[in-house]
Amino acid sequence: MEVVALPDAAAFLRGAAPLLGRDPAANNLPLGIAQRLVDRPDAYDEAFFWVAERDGDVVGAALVTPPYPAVLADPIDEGAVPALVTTLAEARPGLPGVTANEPWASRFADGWAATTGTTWRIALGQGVFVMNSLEPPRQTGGAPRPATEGDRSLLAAWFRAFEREALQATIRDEGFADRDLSARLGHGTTAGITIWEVEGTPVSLTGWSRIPGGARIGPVYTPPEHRGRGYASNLVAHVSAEMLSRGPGACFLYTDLGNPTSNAIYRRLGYEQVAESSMIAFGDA
Amino acid sequence: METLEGAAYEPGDPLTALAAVARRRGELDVEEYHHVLRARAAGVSWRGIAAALGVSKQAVHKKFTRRGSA
Repeated sequence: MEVVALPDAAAFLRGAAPLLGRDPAANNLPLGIAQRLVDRPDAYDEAFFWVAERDGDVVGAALVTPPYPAVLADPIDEGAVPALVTTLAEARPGLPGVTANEPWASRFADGWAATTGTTWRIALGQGVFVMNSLEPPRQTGGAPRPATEGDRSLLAAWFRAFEREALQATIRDEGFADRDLSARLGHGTTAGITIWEVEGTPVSLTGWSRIPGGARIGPVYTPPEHRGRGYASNLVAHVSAEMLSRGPGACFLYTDLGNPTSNAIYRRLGYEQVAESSMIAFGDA
Repeated sequence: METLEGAAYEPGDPLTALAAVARRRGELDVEEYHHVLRARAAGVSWRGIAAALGVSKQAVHKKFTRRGSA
């Protein structure tokens, strides 16, 4: 097993393509981060990429965008996980955690603990969902519209609230968050935000980004006072339908497995769970 | 449709049209990666991908290894 560092996101997409392309649904997170960096090389301050190879074949892949946890693609050879642990323990000793589908996330964390002597815990369990054919929801009042620069302060507050509530986020890179919002509000078509509005009042938001494999849907956020009226359901359905009509591939999204309401909403729209992802924190973080 | 003598030989604002071109280009880039990914996962060689795109193997390698904003 050999682990090779790659210089940038494009090299990662190219080098890890045989692995990532096997299962774009399961690998939509690393695909999404890499695509974002191809579109906007300044999205993160730094980014690091590796592939694990056996006999010249790519069997594992990982990326790190500090200060965020490492992200693993699903390996196709179990030996890729300890090999990546060894490499990352050397290259990124202060790594705060790892996000990956199970069982790989826990195996990586076990290896990390054995190598570095640190502890680990699952901070958040998420469902990885995919949808190829939309089941339209019951219609609710209001209509979707693309978010614009004029929505920035509201969206910044909602993104922050989403991260606190849904991700229980302890890590936030303000520079990244600001650039991410700018990219989504800009003129590009590879990422954006759509708002559901009722009589001129925004009541829900859904982010989206196009990736090789299809489109990632998220974040999805409705402030507490507007919940329970089907706004997010209608908005996610609208955005998903637009994504399916605009390009090849499927729609992907991550849910909080501890939130049965949102999981039920997505299932009713035709989303199916294909993997369980763990956000794992190392040490006492 | 106006003639070339007029400034507006096509209906609509040319800057709006250019923005639309840029958007389509961004979408095409993602779509290209999408199919390259599928091809590589199916075991297609870079030579085969280059042939389908109508460019040299070197051009494909350069394109899919480009750095930063270069």
